[in-house]
Amino acid sequence: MINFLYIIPEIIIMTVLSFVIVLDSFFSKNNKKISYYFVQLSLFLCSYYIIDNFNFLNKNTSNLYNTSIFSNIFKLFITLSLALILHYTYKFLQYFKKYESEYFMIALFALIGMMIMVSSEHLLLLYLGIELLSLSLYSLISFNRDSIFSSEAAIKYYILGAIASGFLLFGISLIYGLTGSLYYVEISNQISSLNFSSSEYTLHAVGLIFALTFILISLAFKFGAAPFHMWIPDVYHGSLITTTLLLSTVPKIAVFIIIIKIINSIFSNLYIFWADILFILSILSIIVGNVTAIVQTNIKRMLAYSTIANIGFILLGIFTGSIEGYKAAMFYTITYVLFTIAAFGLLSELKNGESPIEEITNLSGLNKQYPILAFIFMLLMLSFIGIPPLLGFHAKLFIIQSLILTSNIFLSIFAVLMTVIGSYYYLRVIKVMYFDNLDNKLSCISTSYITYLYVFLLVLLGLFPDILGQISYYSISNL
Amino acid sequence: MNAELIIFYLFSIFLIISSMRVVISNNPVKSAIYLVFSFFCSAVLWLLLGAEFLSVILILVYVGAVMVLFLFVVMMLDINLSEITSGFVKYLNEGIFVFIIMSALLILFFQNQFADTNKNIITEIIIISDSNTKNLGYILYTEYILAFEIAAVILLLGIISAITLTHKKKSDNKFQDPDMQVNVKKEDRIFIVKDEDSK
Amino acid sequence: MNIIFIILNSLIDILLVVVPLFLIVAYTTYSERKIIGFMQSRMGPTRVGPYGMLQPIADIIKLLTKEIIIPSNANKGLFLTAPIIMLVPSLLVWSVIPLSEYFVIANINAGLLFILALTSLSVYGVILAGWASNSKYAFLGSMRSAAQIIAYEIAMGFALVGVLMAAGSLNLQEIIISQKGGIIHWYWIPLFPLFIIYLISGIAETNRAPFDVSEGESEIVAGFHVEYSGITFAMFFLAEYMNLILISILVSIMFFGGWLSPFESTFLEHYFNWIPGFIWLSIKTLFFIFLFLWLRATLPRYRYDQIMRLGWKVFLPITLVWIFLEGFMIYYKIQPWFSV
Repeated sequence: MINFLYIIPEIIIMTVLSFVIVLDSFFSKNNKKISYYFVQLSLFLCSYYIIDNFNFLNKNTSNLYNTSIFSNIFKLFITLSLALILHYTYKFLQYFKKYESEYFMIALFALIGMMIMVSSEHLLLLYLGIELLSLSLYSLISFNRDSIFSSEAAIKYYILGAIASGFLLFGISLIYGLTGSLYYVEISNQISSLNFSSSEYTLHAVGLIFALTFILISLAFKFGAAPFHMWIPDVYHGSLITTTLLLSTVPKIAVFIIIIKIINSIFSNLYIFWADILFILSILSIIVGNVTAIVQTNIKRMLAYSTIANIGFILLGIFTGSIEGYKAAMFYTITYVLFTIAAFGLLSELKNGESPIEEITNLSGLNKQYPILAFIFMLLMLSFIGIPPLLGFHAKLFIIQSLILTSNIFLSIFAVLMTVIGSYYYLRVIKVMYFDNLDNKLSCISTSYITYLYVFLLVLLGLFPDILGQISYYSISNL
Repeated sequence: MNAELIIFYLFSIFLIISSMRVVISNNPVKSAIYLVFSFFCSAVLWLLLGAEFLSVILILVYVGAVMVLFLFVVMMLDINLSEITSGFVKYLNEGIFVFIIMSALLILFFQNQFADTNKNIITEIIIISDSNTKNLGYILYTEYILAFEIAAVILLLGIISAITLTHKKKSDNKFQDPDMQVNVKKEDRIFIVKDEDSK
Repeated sequence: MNIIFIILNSLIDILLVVVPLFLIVAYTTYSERKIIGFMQSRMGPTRVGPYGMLQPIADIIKLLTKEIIIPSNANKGLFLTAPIIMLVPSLLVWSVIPLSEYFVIANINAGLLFILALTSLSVYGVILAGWASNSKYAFLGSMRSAAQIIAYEIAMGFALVGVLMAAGSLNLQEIIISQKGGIIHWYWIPLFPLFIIYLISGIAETNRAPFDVSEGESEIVAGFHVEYSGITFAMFFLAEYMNLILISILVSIMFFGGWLSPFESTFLEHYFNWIPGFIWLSIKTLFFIFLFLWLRATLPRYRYDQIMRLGWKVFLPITLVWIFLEGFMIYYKIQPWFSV
């Protein structure tokens, strides 16, 4: 049994959601936007109660659903990020006359899924959380029903996602057959009680390695690491830019946390096996992401490949298997998410003629018309490259530091080289914005002071990276 | 060899054959029917294990509801058979490769893992009654209440997204409003027109 | 030896149920024609035997000897399996029906679920018959009927959920025993909306008037079994009437105390003690069969979209609300139904 006091944030979201679902059908077409305000309200209420949860952290004894400081920090982060994302989404949908309140309801479902993923201490709960998240993402992707790309992306993601879920279930069932439990704690007890030196070692390890492989394959798919990255470019390209914004940011945090948790609490004894898998995944992701991004002309596809490359870096951090590495990976994930929100959010505020931004060339001459926006976008691109003193620099620095600390010198050189290659396509965007002729069709939906403030805070955070470093260190040590 | 074992082997063979026919059969409707039959066989196998609730629910939900809708869709679609069969041959090599690897894996795994059954005994289940259904209900509503509720949330999400994606209002969409039909008055339908000529 | 004895014993049990059942089906058709005839100021069958009593026998002989015609380009295997798929579940369900306090073929724990699962299977017979016939009328009829069956199955399932909540058991015998104590103790009073919904859904589920759009003669000839003749048609016919009797007997068991006497715990109890439970069950069942025939003679056919609207938008919400209310009734132990 679990004490319902600890899941008040989830309950609040669910209550408001049920309320909005019923109420929305009574609103007239012009008043539908009230639903959006309810959704935002629920997000802020939810974050208030998450902060409130910090007061009674250690009283929780349930091993089904964990509300440690780690999960609370990330729930707060996810909720606030979602509030920002939905702000951009609302403005975008409103402008292009595609507003439907269901979009925001489904986004709230995704939020519940992510919260469950973050907190679950039980493989069944984890599976349900992942399914809740993926199902809402499938329907968000296919939301733009008039576009053939949108349907294609949704079908592709749906079929591949179903297969990945199948892999996850297969891995979970293997683990259940081997250990007789689905609780993280009990599984890890069972595994650590194995005598790895005897002949039993090979027998039991076979099953566990298979289970581990299946689960990691499925999570790598959800994360978008090469060679399971095929869906990312199409899905990013096909869906609305604000869906891409949602898709490429918060779910990545949730999946990252699951990977960290599963690797750290269930399979910590099997380091040699998962390190190999992660090594291959990360190297491939970095190469595929950085090299393929160079030839892209569509800005969403380019950012999709940059996502794959970034995920490679995150996995490199986890690969080291040290606290330093985990901390660096977490720092990198948070940085990546913060900056991606800003980049896609900014893109969603621009339009080309009467349609959203698609090609990189659509941005040409942005500097002449909107110098502040161009400057902000340049800052974001520079951060992705990793130019000091921006936050991206520290993120890459920590990853490389952790590689060196675990004496993976060649890997760190590889990472630096790949960063240099990757800087090409980020710099090209800056070149298009600053040195190409003005594209007269380019204009801005609305000047958002929230974007200015947000990027200003990000830059400020880059000047004091220790704040974020402390937080990630603190949460990792309270895993 | 007792009767239970005979039933087990009989339905296992049925299950395997019908599952293979699901893939091999080149008529999609037949595939769907074989899938129904394989669900039925697995329900029988569950019944043999003493899981009467799960087996009946499998029939009720999968056979009685899900597959009916599936059959509906398959029957309505005009599926090109030659296209399906061509794909079958095209991907046969890969399929056999995956099949061999997976089955080798499973054989290796099951031979090694479940030899020592002591490790796989689950002891912590609280048994409150000899009825399988009651025990399952008890566990679902106490220990796994959260998982149960989340499953309900997933279903709600499924309903909402399906309706959002398909319920597209078109201007040329014709439908009747029963309220208007019931509340219709004489004045709405009959107009008394004065005949100009008769003056 | 022992196992042979068990098999023989259960065979006799099965025959004891199935043979009378077939006879009842035959005479249900007779009584349907008679009753509707009288309601419409006609005589009904009069020629074969006294008062036309042998008419069903003549019908059976005619159907058995007729040729089975398989339409060209029909899927032969499925065409012939469809009536079997239709008939087998409707026969199987009878194995868990308690006909008296002592007689039930299989007294299983999950009886109610078993019934729900098996009745949900009969939709396959309809769909396959329509599809395998290779005829557009049959296909249209099967589509209509399948959509209708699915829609009403949900309301029906929820009505049964109400019963199982009240009884606290899935076993039919226990459901009957929990209604002990005379006519006011039966579940039709606290579960009145569920009873009505179950009754109406039962008619819709068996595709009978006024919900017989799947056979609507004026629109699609005879619906899903338009291409069937002879014994294959007889099987559909048999299944339909068996389902009709089944629904009636289930209503009597779930909401009207099954084989219990209505006069329990009243001053009349003593005088009616000698009547066996089976007779009470038969009286109740026959009443509901009569009700179904009555409805057929009285009501015009529903329009298709109205059927769907009734199922999804009216029945489903009502059942949900009533189950919610019933939860409160059980929690506050409303007498005399929810004392435990």
